[in-house]
Amino acid sequence: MTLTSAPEQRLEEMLPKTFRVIGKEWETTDTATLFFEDVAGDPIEFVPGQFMMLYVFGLGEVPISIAGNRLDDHTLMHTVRAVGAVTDGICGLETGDEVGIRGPFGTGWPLEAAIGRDLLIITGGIGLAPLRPAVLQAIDTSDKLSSLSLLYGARTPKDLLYKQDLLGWEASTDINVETTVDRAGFDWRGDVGLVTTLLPRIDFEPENTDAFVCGPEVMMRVVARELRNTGVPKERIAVSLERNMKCGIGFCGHCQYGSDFLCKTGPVVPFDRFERRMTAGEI
Amino acid sequence: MSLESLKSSAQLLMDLDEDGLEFLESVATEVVFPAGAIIFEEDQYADTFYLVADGKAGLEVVLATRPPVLLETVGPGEMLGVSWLTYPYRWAWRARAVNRSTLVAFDADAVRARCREDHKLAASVYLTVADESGRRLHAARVRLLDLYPGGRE
Amino acid sequence: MGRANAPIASPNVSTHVVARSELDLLLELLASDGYEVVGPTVRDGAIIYDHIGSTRDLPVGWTDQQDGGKYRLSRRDDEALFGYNVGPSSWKTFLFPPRLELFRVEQNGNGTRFLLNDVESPRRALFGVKSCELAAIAIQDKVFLASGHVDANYAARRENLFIVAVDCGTASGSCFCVSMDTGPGCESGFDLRITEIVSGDGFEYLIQSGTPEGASLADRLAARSADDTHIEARDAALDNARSEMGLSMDTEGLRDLMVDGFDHPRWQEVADRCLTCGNCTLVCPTCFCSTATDSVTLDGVASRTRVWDSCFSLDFTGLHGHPVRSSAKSRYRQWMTHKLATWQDQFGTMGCVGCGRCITWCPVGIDITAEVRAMREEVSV
Repeated sequence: MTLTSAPEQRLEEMLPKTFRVIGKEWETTDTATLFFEDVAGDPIEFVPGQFMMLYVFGLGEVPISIAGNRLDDHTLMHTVRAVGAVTDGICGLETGDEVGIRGPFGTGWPLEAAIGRDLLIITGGIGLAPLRPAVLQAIDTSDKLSSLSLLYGARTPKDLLYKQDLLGWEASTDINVETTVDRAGFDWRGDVGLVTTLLPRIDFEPENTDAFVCGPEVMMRVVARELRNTGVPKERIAVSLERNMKCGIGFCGHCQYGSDFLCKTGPVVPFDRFERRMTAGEI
Repeated sequence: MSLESLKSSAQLLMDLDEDGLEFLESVATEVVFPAGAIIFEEDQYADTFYLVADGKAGLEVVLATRPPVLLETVGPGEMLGVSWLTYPYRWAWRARAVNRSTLVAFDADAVRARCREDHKLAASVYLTVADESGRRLHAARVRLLDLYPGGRE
Repeated sequence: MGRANAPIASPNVSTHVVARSELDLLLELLASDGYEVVGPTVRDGAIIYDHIGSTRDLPVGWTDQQDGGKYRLSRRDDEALFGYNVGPSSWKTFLFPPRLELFRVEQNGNGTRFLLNDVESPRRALFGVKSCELAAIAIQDKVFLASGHVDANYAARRENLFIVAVDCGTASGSCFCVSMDTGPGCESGFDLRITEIVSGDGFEYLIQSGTPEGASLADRLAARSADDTHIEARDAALDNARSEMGLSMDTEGLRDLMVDGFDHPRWQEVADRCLTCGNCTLVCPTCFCSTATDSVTLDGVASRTRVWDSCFSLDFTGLHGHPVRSSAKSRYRQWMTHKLATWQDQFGTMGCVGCGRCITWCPVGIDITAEVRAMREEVSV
């Protein structure tokens, strides 16, 4: 039985390309931002919110969101927290080292849909990384938004990512930035408390608001419901869900979340479609 | 001056009728605290309660072996502490101005006394504080989960 | 669920009758046409799939007794070639290999090079594919070829496949293909279809072609046209299989039963018996989950290898070092809900073909059909 197919071109989806580290900055004591270039010199194209599969020689492969600016098509930026063998390996890379990268995979933040509306970007912890490209793109198009706000929560002031970016954004008139932490001493001049307690500080018209939320799942539920309580339509709230993506193209089965393969229909999904699953547990 | 701005931002004042508002105005004074100034002490009798008009104030706890920890901050329109309303009318935590802050201070004894007589006012005041307490309890529980990873110490 | 298991419209057309010796010729022709022929054979007390050269390599005169957690071979009182049911092997081994190296990596002074292995596209003939297994192959085709991405390795292995299907004249205590509308007769998805029918003291074989490739091969056999008595004999064989069908499953509204039954107490009950060993996923002819392992040789070449994985393993959902599905209950629920319900959302078909392998090879005899019944009974209380 003969089936038509084009195996040559499809194999590439599982084959990493060689990327070289061109810079590294430690964000916190265990989280590093790495900058890569494609050794072949091909431009990097992605939609904010998408992820790549990063392969470290002999150690394995992990899904990592893209944190860089979509306008810089020569630099691929990833922020990685060292929590296992492969991410330890990534954080241990130095300038000049080479890794394998394939992608991008998955869905992006629905920025187009937010045009003409108030856009709230709410994030906690390392959840700012997948949102950073969206923040940058939103700032670029802020004249087309009614308003643009970033609410960011972290554990302590030391754990805030992208401190230089935050200073710049705080000084910018294109975006309102409010930052809060869970723990701080009195040398911290910012806020202390849950990220949702910052909502009253922001001017937005709930029924005309889109929200992008990224953080631990329970944080996203709490934030999404607080937004709903203020009147933001649930279908206008996008969240980024994370599972154990292994292949990125819906074959390995690991990232199933109900009937969704999150590597294909996620990671960015509308909250209302997943709310029940997020509350059920162990799906 | 500051009280005027709070009428459109502080839930407590927004929910009151004319009579209630007039009464609260009669027991209100404006206070300015420089950054770092202590507003009230832990376990101090709450003869005054505060709404933040401008700036930022926070509740802090003093620890034996570490510098004081900031538990929660409140900004414009928000109430600084909720333990003034209920027995034993003592502040649970110390409060401090994070930045230079303008607060409106209310005579807590007078408000509590009036609430015993004026149930309409009491309903507004208690509802606002119950609402705020619920929100803070919810936030505290979420924070109890220690959701965000922290860097290695 | 595409196919109705109704009688075939024109049963006589292109159906021929051959003697057993012609099946040996068929195997020889396949081999001489360059096909690597694999089919059922007895090994280690079970019927598995491996290379065969003649009908003597088939499980001649063997059958099997199957039930929850039980599999035994026994002798038949005749010398039938196909008088048994599916064993622990499934054809997915040949299309979706248990281990497959994805790429190699060389890292040295000249940089890092990722090297693809050549994709194997063997000319392979699967001999003796039962109707439930045809259905399983059709399901994996949807997963690997028609889900928006194409698995190049699967496509290459699938491309030069020749399928000789065989109708079931018998069924085991674990079989329920009738419920799943996948058997016992083969209707599509084959190059050639064989039915073993009784003829005097021995057997004859009906041969029907499903493709031009099948027809041209069948033309090379010494055959005569089938008449009505042959077709009646085939119907009788299929009826016998239907009558022996050990189990049944009511598929009506199954998707919602599973999805809406997320908090059903039955999940805990089955979890108390389930060992989370993953046998069911390994013997299942449609389970497609995989993971990848990494290694480095002493001379410094790294490789990444895809291996079958099971949703019953704790690592399967590992996220930052913690499993999402840690309880046995959640892992059994995922497997069964996926198989019967969410699979339909993903691929427009159920993931179960009624072959009964998961029941037979479950060490504690958990029966998916009994679990569906239990879900129905208790939900309706």
